[in-house]
Amino acid sequence: MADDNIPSLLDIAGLIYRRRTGSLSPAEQSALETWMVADPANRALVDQLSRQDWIEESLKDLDPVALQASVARVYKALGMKTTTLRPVGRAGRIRLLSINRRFAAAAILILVAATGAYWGFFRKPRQVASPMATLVNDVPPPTGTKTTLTLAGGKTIILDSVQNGDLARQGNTQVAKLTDNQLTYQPSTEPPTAVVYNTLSTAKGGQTIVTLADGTKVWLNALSSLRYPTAFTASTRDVTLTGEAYFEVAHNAGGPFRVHAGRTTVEDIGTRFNVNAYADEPDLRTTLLQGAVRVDGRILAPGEQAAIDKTGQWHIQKDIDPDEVLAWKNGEFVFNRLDMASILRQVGRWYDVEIVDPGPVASRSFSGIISRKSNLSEVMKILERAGIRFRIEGKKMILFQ
Amino acid sequence: MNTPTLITDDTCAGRLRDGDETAFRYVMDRYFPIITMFALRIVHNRSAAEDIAEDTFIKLWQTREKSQTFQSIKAFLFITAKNACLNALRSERSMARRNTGFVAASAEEEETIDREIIRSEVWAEIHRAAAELPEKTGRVFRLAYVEGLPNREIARQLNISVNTVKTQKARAIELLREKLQGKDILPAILTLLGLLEKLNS
Repeated sequence: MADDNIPSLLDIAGLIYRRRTGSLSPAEQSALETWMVADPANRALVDQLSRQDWIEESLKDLDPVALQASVARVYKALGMKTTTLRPVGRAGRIRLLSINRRFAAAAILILVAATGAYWGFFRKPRQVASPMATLVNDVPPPTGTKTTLTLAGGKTIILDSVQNGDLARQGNTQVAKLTDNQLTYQPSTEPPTAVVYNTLSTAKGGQTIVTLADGTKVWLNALSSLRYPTAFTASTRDVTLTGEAYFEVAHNAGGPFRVHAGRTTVEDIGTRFNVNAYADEPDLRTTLLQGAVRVDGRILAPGEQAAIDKTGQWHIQKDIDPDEVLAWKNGEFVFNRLDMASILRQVGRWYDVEIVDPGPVASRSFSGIISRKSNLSEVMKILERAGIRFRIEGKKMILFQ
Repeated sequence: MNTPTLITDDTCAGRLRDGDETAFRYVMDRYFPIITMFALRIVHNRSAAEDIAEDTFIKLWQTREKSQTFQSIKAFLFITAKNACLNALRSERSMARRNTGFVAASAEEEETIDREIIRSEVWAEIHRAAAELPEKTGRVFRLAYVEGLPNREIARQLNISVNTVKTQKARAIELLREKLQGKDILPAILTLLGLLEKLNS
């Protein structure tokens, strides 16, 4: 392969870096100039590297936590000790730039990326006990769907333990498990028999996707359940949700799709929306991504979120960040100035741990992006920047100051 | 666990050749994020990019006897990662071709990758300049601009006066200016820092 040119590419990078400092010799200057005129794309690159926003631009796709895990895998493969990220000390309320994800990512990256060399220079003189010392048993990210399907007769099927293929026949509808752990309901051409209901439920750390008989696709988050008819015969399509789900509804003008969650009803008018109805969350939140929905009779516009508290009080928030709302579906935790109590509820539901005594840390807010494929300790290491300390005992995570 | 002598660009290759783990860690710290980013920009798939970066550094350690200079280490990293990216693209494409009959222009692709190498290397230089700030200045710089703490809080944490914090911040910028020496690059950093500052006020 033609790899001989790589050293010269590195030289060009050096020239770009030292350009216009006066430290380029006339020969170097003309070499760079020659390279720039050779191809408009070359000149565009130099221009781009001179633009003001290119640093953050170059960082935006890097997930600092994934990077750390990746580095750890290299050391592990070579039988070397993994360098752990040292805590920087308690920063109190962390203000990790939450104006947008890019800046947050950039900042965390700068923090995390250069462990060795960086920490040598930046370490605080006071030695802080490693958080890992308090970690007896780490909790790996959950695997499998941790999903149970309850059929009409009450028979249950553990989704992770059955083969792909047809699972059951419900009325005239065929229920099948697809290769990627998704569940699908295939109605037959024969007229549906009497309406029967199935319930899909996920445990802590579980997540599943189901395509209903009408083609509507539902993503179900951890510790949630969805009850639905196996065929849609009525003039309305009614399902019941606990926990959280994201819906991509197959539009049918003749049969509106309704989600019942607690005392709230979300009625679709052909659309994509997320409903967060966990009983331990203060608000039931419906977020509309596309199309239109009616929440208890009130119409939401795309990007709007309706939050209804336990007393029935309404609050509409506009310009919701879809990445934040759908982070769970995309395998991430995205926190945007979120209070620690809410963050810990999410963490507890995913890692199947009970959070003991958030106490005074509960009101602190935090911003950041963390992969849901991280170990619990990796998540906590990041949260420690908000000044919390913790230890894990079995299925309990105990927080202290 | 680390050998006492500091690794530098000049001593790195020799130490790596001798099987010094510290030298390997030096290269990891400097280039692992950069190689990951480089691969990500080409294959557009996070886990594929991670695999490529991981394999590249594992190979670096396995063939450490061949390292000549720091420049040759860098070249090895980019060559190895580039080839792995091309392989990843090719296998993806052979699958796509079965479906669409689509064949991409490969020479153009190589040029694009070459430009990504340049971009990555310029970024590596900036990264190094920021990491090389002296200890006290670096600490203030990091608390202020990376963690985003207000002057008062930095002063409290480091047990210094607010005025000292201000002086150290100015000094950090000044040192970065000297290190980067690039009148093109500095405004970028200042803008970034200015934005962070605004967020925290």
